[in-house]
Amino acid sequence: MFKKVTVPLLSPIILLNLVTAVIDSFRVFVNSYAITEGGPLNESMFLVLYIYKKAFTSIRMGYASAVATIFLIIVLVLTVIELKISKKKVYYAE
Amino acid sequence: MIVTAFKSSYQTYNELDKFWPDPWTIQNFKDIFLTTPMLSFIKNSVIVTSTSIIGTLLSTTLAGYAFGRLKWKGRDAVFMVVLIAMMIPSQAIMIPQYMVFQKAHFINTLFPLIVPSWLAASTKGAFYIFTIRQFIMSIPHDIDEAAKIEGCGYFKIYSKILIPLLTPAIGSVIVFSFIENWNNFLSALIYLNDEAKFTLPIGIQYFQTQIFVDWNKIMGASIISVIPAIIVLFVGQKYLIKGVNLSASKG
Repeated sequence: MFKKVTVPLLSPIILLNLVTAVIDSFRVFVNSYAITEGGPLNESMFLVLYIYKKAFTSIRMGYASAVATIFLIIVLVLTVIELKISKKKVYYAE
Repeated sequence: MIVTAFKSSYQTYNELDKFWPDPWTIQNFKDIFLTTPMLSFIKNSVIVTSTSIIGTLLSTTLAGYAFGRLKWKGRDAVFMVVLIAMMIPSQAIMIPQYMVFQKAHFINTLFPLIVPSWLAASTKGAFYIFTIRQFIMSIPHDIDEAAKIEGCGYFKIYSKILIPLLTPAIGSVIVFSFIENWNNFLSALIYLNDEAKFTLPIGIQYFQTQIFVDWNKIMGASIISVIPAIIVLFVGQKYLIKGVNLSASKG
Protein backbone atom coordinates (compact mmCIF):
# COMPACT_ATOMS: atom_id res chain seq x y z
CA MET A 1 0.00 0.00 0.00
CA PHE A 2 2.81 2.38 0.88
CA LYS A 3 4.46 1.83 -2.49
CA LYS A 4 1.34 1.93 -4.68
CA VAL A 5 -0.77 4.56 -2.89
CA THR A 6 1.17 6.73 -0.45
CA VAL A 7 4.27 7.43 -2.50
CA PRO A 8 2.43 8.39 -5.72
CA LEU A 9 0.14 10.72 -3.79
CA LEU A 10 3.10 12.30 -2.04
CA SER A 11 5.16 12.59 -5.21
CA PRO A 12 4.56 16.33 -5.92
CA ILE A 13 5.77 17.17 -2.42
CA ILE A 14 8.69 14.79 -2.75
CA LEU A 15 9.64 16.59 -5.97
CA LEU A 16 9.51 20.00 -4.26
CA ASN A 17 11.64 18.69 -1.41
CA LEU A 18 14.12 17.12 -3.81
CA VAL A 19 14.57 20.33 -5.77
CA THR A 20 15.01 22.52 -2.70
CA ALA A 21 17.28 19.99 -0.98
CA VAL A 22 19.62 19.78 -3.96
CA ILE A 23 19.83 23.58 -4.13
CA ASP A 24 20.36 23.86 -0.37
CA SER A 25 23.17 21.33 -0.48
CA PHE A 26 24.95 23.53 -3.01
CA ARG A 27 24.73 26.45 -0.63
CA VAL A 28 27.01 25.01 2.05
CA PHE A 29 28.91 27.91 3.50
CA VAL A 30 28.87 28.44 7.25
CA ASN A 31 30.28 25.07 8.28
CA SER A 32 33.45 25.19 6.26
CA TYR A 33 33.88 28.94 6.75
CA ALA A 34 33.68 28.71 10.53
CA ILE A 35 35.80 25.59 10.92
CA THR A 36 38.56 25.65 8.31
CA GLU A 37 38.00 28.61 5.94
CA GLY A 38 38.57 26.37 2.94
CA GLY A 39 40.86 24.08 4.78
CA PRO A 40 44.22 22.59 4.03
CA LEU A 41 44.94 23.07 0.32
CA ASN A 42 41.31 23.83 -0.59
CA GLU A 43 40.20 20.36 0.53
CA SER A 44 37.11 21.79 2.22
CA MET A 45 36.47 24.58 -0.29
CA PHE A 46 32.91 25.01 -1.50
CA LEU A 47 31.54 27.10 -4.34
CA VAL A 48 29.86 29.72 -2.19
CA LEU A 49 32.89 30.01 0.06
CA TYR A 50 35.08 30.46 -3.03
CA ILE A 51 32.79 33.22 -4.31
CA TYR A 52 32.88 34.91 -0.91
CA LYS A 53 36.67 34.72 -0.68
CA LYS A 54 37.26 36.02 -4.18
CA ALA A 55 34.76 38.85 -3.80
CA PHE A 56 35.37 40.09 -0.29
CA THR A 57 38.86 39.09 0.82
CA SER A 58 40.77 39.45 -2.44
CA ILE A 59 38.32 42.07 -3.84
CA ARG A 60 37.96 40.57 -7.34
CA MET A 61 34.30 41.28 -7.99
CA GLY A 62 34.34 40.44 -11.70
CA TYR A 63 35.99 37.05 -11.19
CA ALA A 64 33.62 36.25 -8.34
CA SER A 65 30.62 37.23 -10.46
CA ALA A 66 31.80 34.83 -13.16
CA VAL A 67 32.04 32.02 -10.61
CA ALA A 68 28.58 32.93 -9.33
CA THR A 69 27.21 32.71 -12.88
CA ILE A 70 28.70 29.23 -13.32
CA PHE A 71 27.26 28.27 -9.95
CA LEU A 72 23.84 29.45 -11.09
CA ILE A 73 24.11 27.52 -14.37
CA ILE A 74 25.07 24.29 -12.58
CA VAL A 75 22.09 24.60 -10.24
CA LEU A 76 19.67 25.45 -13.05
CA VAL A 77 20.86 22.53 -15.21
CA LEU A 78 20.44 20.14 -12.30
CA THR A 79 16.95 21.51 -11.59
CA VAL A 80 15.90 21.15 -15.21
CA ILE A 81 17.17 17.54 -15.27
CA GLU A 82 15.22 16.81 -12.10
CA LEU A 83 12.05 18.28 -13.56
CA LYS A 84 12.51 16.34 -16.83
CA ILE A 85 12.94 13.05 -15.01
CA SER A 86 10.03 13.81 -12.72
CA LYS A 87 7.58 14.31 -15.59
CA LYS A 88 7.05 10.56 -15.91
CA LYS A 89 7.12 9.71 -12.23
CA VAL A 90 5.12 12.44 -10.51
CA TYR A 91 1.40 11.94 -10.19
CA TYR A 92 -0.93 14.95 -10.29
CA ALA A 93 -4.52 14.52 -9.20
CA GLU A 94 -6.07 16.49 -12.04
CA MET B 1 27.74 21.96 23.85
CA ILE B 2 26.07 22.42 27.22
CA VAL B 3 28.71 20.41 29.08
CA THR B 4 31.58 22.41 27.61
CA ALA B 5 29.88 25.70 28.38
CA PHE B 6 30.02 24.91 32.08
CA LYS B 7 33.62 23.72 32.17
CA SER B 8 36.56 25.90 32.98
CA SER B 9 39.02 26.59 30.21
CA TYR B 10 41.69 24.56 32.04
CA GLN B 11 39.45 21.50 32.10
CA THR B 12 38.62 21.59 28.38
CA TYR B 13 42.25 21.60 27.37
CA ASN B 14 43.90 19.46 30.04
CA GLU B 15 41.45 16.91 31.43
CA LEU B 16 40.35 15.36 28.17
CA ASP B 17 39.31 12.07 29.75
CA LYS B 18 36.51 13.62 31.80
CA PHE B 19 33.10 14.16 30.21
CA TRP B 20 31.24 16.00 32.98
CA PRO B 21 32.51 19.36 34.23
CA ASP B 22 34.01 19.21 37.72
CA PRO B 23 33.16 21.59 39.32
CA TRP B 24 30.31 23.18 37.32
CA THR B 25 31.03 26.85 36.74
CA ILE B 26 29.12 29.79 35.31
CA GLN B 27 32.31 31.80 34.93
CA ASN B 28 32.07 31.52 31.13
CA PHE B 29 28.70 33.26 31.02
CA LYS B 30 29.96 35.99 33.33
CA ASP B 31 32.99 36.51 31.08
CA ILE B 32 30.85 36.59 27.96
CA PHE B 33 28.75 39.45 29.26
CA LEU B 34 31.59 41.32 30.96
CA THR B 35 34.38 41.14 28.41
CA THR B 36 32.50 41.24 25.10
CA PRO B 37 29.64 43.42 23.79
CA MET B 38 27.28 40.45 23.96
CA LEU B 39 24.30 42.60 24.94
CA SER B 40 24.70 44.71 21.83
CA PHE B 41 24.94 41.56 19.66
CA ILE B 42 21.67 40.35 21.16
CA LYS B 43 20.08 43.78 20.73
CA ASN B 44 21.06 43.94 17.06
CA SER B 45 19.82 40.43 16.42
CA VAL B 46 16.48 41.25 18.04
CA ILE B 47 16.13 44.45 15.99
CA VAL B 48 16.94 42.69 12.71
CA THR B 49 14.74 39.67 13.38
CA SER B 50 11.67 41.53 14.62
CA THR B 51 11.61 44.16 11.88
CA SER B 52 12.31 41.48 9.25
CA ILE B 53 9.40 39.38 10.44
CA ILE B 54 7.02 42.37 10.25
CA GLY B 55 8.28 43.17 6.76
CA THR B 56 8.01 39.58 5.61
CA LEU B 57 4.44 39.31 6.84
CA LEU B 58 3.32 42.54 5.16
CA SER B 59 4.96 41.84 1.82
CA THR B 60 4.23 38.13 1.51
CA THR B 61 0.58 38.28 2.55
CA LEU B 62 -0.06 41.16 0.13
CA ALA B 63 1.72 39.32 -2.68
CA GLY B 64 -0.03 36.09 -1.84
CA TYR B 65 -3.38 37.88 -1.96
CA ALA B 66 -2.56 39.37 -5.34
CA PHE B 67 -1.51 36.00 -6.76
CA GLY B 68 -4.20 33.91 -5.12
CA ARG B 69 -7.31 36.07 -5.37
CA LEU B 70 -7.09 39.04 -7.67
CA LYS B 71 -7.31 38.61 -11.43
CA TRP B 72 -4.97 40.75 -13.50
CA LYS B 73 -3.24 40.54 -16.82
CA GLY B 74 -0.03 38.53 -16.78
CA ARG B 75 -0.60 37.18 -13.29
CA ASP B 76 0.42 33.63 -14.12
CA ALA B 77 3.54 34.79 -15.96
CA VAL B 78 4.64 36.87 -12.97
CA PHE B 79 3.92 33.95 -10.68
CA MET B 80 6.17 31.76 -12.82
CA VAL B 81 8.92 34.34 -12.21
CA VAL B 82 8.34 33.95 -8.47
CA LEU B 83 8.62 30.16 -8.78
CA ILE B 84 11.86 30.48 -10.71
CA ALA B 85 13.15 32.91 -8.08
CA MET B 86 12.51 30.19 -5.52
CA MET B 87 14.97 27.97 -7.39
CA ILE B 88 17.80 30.49 -7.60
CA PRO B 89 20.19 30.19 -4.67
CA SER B 90 20.57 33.55 -2.96
CA GLN B 91 24.37 33.29 -2.92
CA ALA B 92 24.44 33.47 -6.71
CA ILE B 93 23.03 36.99 -6.62
CA MET B 94 25.06 38.02 -3.58
CA ILE B 95 27.52 40.26 -5.44
CA PRO B 96 25.06 42.39 -7.44
CA GLN B 97 23.00 42.75 -4.26
CA TYR B 98 26.10 43.95 -2.44
CA MET B 99 26.74 46.53 -5.15
CA VAL B 100 23.17 47.81 -4.94
CA PHE B 101 23.46 48.28 -1.20
CA GLN B 102 26.84 49.92 -1.66
CA LYS B 103 25.29 52.47 -4.04
CA ALA B 104 22.60 53.12 -1.45
CA HIS B 105 25.26 53.64 1.28
CA PHE B 106 23.79 50.85 3.38
CA ILE B 107 27.10 49.10 4.08
CA ASN B 108 27.86 48.72 7.77
CA THR B 109 24.29 49.41 8.84
CA LEU B 110 21.57 46.93 9.73
CA PHE B 111 19.48 47.89 6.68
CA PRO B 112 20.86 45.26 4.25
CA LEU B 113 19.65 42.56 6.63
CA ILE B 114 16.16 44.08 6.94
CA VAL B 115 15.29 45.60 3.58
CA PRO B 116 15.15 42.33 1.57
CA SER B 117 12.49 41.00 3.92
CA TRP B 118 10.31 44.07 3.35
CA LEU B 119 10.47 43.39 -0.38
CA ALA B 120 9.85 39.63 0.02
CA ALA B 121 13.30 39.19 -1.50
CA SER B 122 15.01 37.38 1.37
CA THR B 123 16.45 33.90 0.82
CA LYS B 124 13.09 32.21 1.33
CA GLY B 125 10.82 35.10 0.32
CA ALA B 126 9.46 33.38 -2.77
CA PHE B 127 8.75 30.27 -0.73
CA TYR B 128 6.65 32.31 1.73
CA ILE B 129 4.65 33.87 -1.11
CA PHE B 130 4.05 30.39 -2.50
CA THR B 131 2.86 29.07 0.89
CA ILE B 132 0.49 31.99 1.47
CA ARG B 133 -0.88 31.80 -2.07
CA GLN B 134 -1.64 28.07 -1.76
CA PHE B 135 -3.40 28.72 1.52
CA ILE B 136 -5.47 31.60 0.11
CA MET B 137 -6.50 29.45 -2.86
CA SER B 138 -7.89 26.88 -0.42
CA ILE B 139 -10.16 29.46 1.27
CA PRO B 140 -13.59 29.35 -0.42
CA HIS B 141 -14.40 32.22 -2.79
CA ASP B 142 -17.90 32.55 -1.30
CA ILE B 143 -16.54 34.31 1.77
CA ASP B 144 -14.99 37.02 -0.42
CA GLU B 145 -18.13 37.46 -2.44
CA ALA B 146 -20.25 37.79 0.68
CA ALA B 147 -17.89 40.48 1.93
CA LYS B 148 -18.03 42.24 -1.42
CA ILE B 149 -21.81 42.33 -1.33
CA GLU B 150 -21.63 43.78 2.16
CA GLY B 151 -19.57 46.61 0.68
CA CYS B 152 -15.98 45.70 1.41
CA GLY B 153 -13.24 46.99 -0.88
CA TYR B 154 -10.27 44.87 -1.92
CA PHE B 155 -8.14 46.05 0.94
CA LYS B 156 -10.87 45.47 3.49
CA ILE B 157 -11.37 41.92 2.23
CA TYR B 158 -7.65 41.42 2.70
CA SER B 159 -7.37 42.93 6.15
CA LYS B 160 -10.67 41.93 7.72
CA ILE B 161 -11.44 38.56 6.09
CA LEU B 162 -8.31 36.89 4.81
CA ILE B 163 -5.77 37.80 7.47
CA PRO B 164 -7.78 36.20 10.32
CA LEU B 165 -8.34 33.08 8.22
CA LEU B 166 -4.67 32.90 7.31
CA THR B 167 -3.40 32.48 10.90
CA PRO B 168 -1.92 28.98 10.41
CA ALA B 169 0.00 30.04 7.30
CA ILE B 170 1.13 33.27 8.96
CA GLY B 171 2.28 31.29 11.99
CA SER B 172 4.45 29.04 9.88
CA VAL B 173 5.86 32.03 7.98
CA ILE B 174 6.72 33.70 11.29
CA VAL B 175 8.54 30.61 12.55
CA PHE B 176 10.45 30.10 9.29
CA SER B 177 11.44 33.72 8.91
CA PHE B 178 12.49 33.94 12.56
CA ILE B 179 14.86 31.03 12.09
CA GLU B 180 16.11 32.41 8.78
CA ASN B 181 16.91 35.86 10.14
CA TRP B 182 18.15 34.77 13.55
CA ASN B 183 20.68 32.44 11.93
CA ASN B 184 21.57 34.74 9.07
CA PHE B 185 25.35 34.48 8.94
CA LEU B 186 26.47 35.23 5.40
CA SER B 187 24.85 38.63 4.84
CA ALA B 188 25.78 39.76 8.33
CA LEU B 189 29.34 38.76 7.56
CA ILE B 190 29.37 40.66 4.27
CA TYR B 191 27.62 43.85 5.26
CA LEU B 192 28.76 44.50 8.83
CA ASN B 193 32.32 45.59 9.68
CA ASP B 194 31.81 47.47 12.90
CA GLU B 195 31.79 45.53 16.14
CA ALA B 196 28.94 47.65 17.47
CA LYS B 197 26.74 46.49 14.57
CA PHE B 198 27.43 42.75 14.86
CA THR B 199 24.54 40.32 15.23
CA LEU B 200 24.73 37.13 17.28
CA PRO B 201 25.94 34.67 14.60
CA ILE B 202 29.06 36.67 13.81
CA GLY B 203 29.29 37.73 17.43
CA ILE B 204 30.02 34.12 18.29
CA GLN B 205 32.91 34.20 15.86
CA TYR B 206 34.40 36.95 18.01
CA PHE B 207 35.78 34.26 20.34
CA GLN B 208 37.59 32.44 17.57
CA THR B 209 40.88 34.09 16.71
CA GLN B 210 43.77 32.89 14.61
CA ILE B 211 45.87 31.94 17.62
CA PHE B 212 43.42 30.73 20.22
CA VAL B 213 39.91 29.29 20.12
CA ASP B 214 38.01 29.81 23.34
CA TRP B 215 35.65 26.84 23.09
CA ASN B 216 34.02 27.39 26.47
CA LYS B 217 32.87 30.85 25.55
CA ILE B 218 31.81 29.79 22.05
CA MET B 219 29.60 27.12 23.58
CA GLY B 220 28.22 29.54 26.15
CA ALA B 221 27.38 32.10 23.47
CA SER B 222 25.85 29.36 21.31
CA ILE B 223 23.55 28.35 24.15
CA ILE B 224 22.47 31.98 24.55
CA SER B 225 21.71 32.19 20.84
CA VAL B 226 19.86 28.87 20.69
CA ILE B 227 17.45 29.54 23.58
CA PRO B 228 15.21 32.10 21.76
CA ALA B 229 14.98 29.84 18.72
CA ILE B 230 13.79 26.94 20.85
CA ILE B 231 11.24 29.13 22.63
CA VAL B 232 9.87 30.44 19.34
CA LEU B 233 9.60 26.92 17.95
CA PHE B 234 7.60 25.66 20.91
CA VAL B 235 5.31 28.67 21.10
CA GLY B 236 4.88 28.66 17.31
CA GLN B 237 3.98 24.99 17.31
CA LYS B 238 1.13 25.49 19.78
CA TYR B 239 -0.08 28.45 17.75
CA LEU B 240 0.07 26.44 14.52
CA ILE B 241 -2.05 23.61 15.90
CA LYS B 242 -4.57 26.10 17.30
CA GLY B 243 -4.80 27.82 13.91
CA VAL B 244 -5.47 24.54 12.15
CA ASN B 245 -8.25 23.63 14.58
CA LEU B 246 -9.84 27.06 14.26
CA SER B 247 -10.09 26.98 10.49
CA ALA B 248 -11.25 23.36 10.46
CA SER B 249 -14.13 23.94 12.86
CA LYS B 250 -15.44 26.83 10.79
CA GLY B 251 -15.54 24.58 7.75
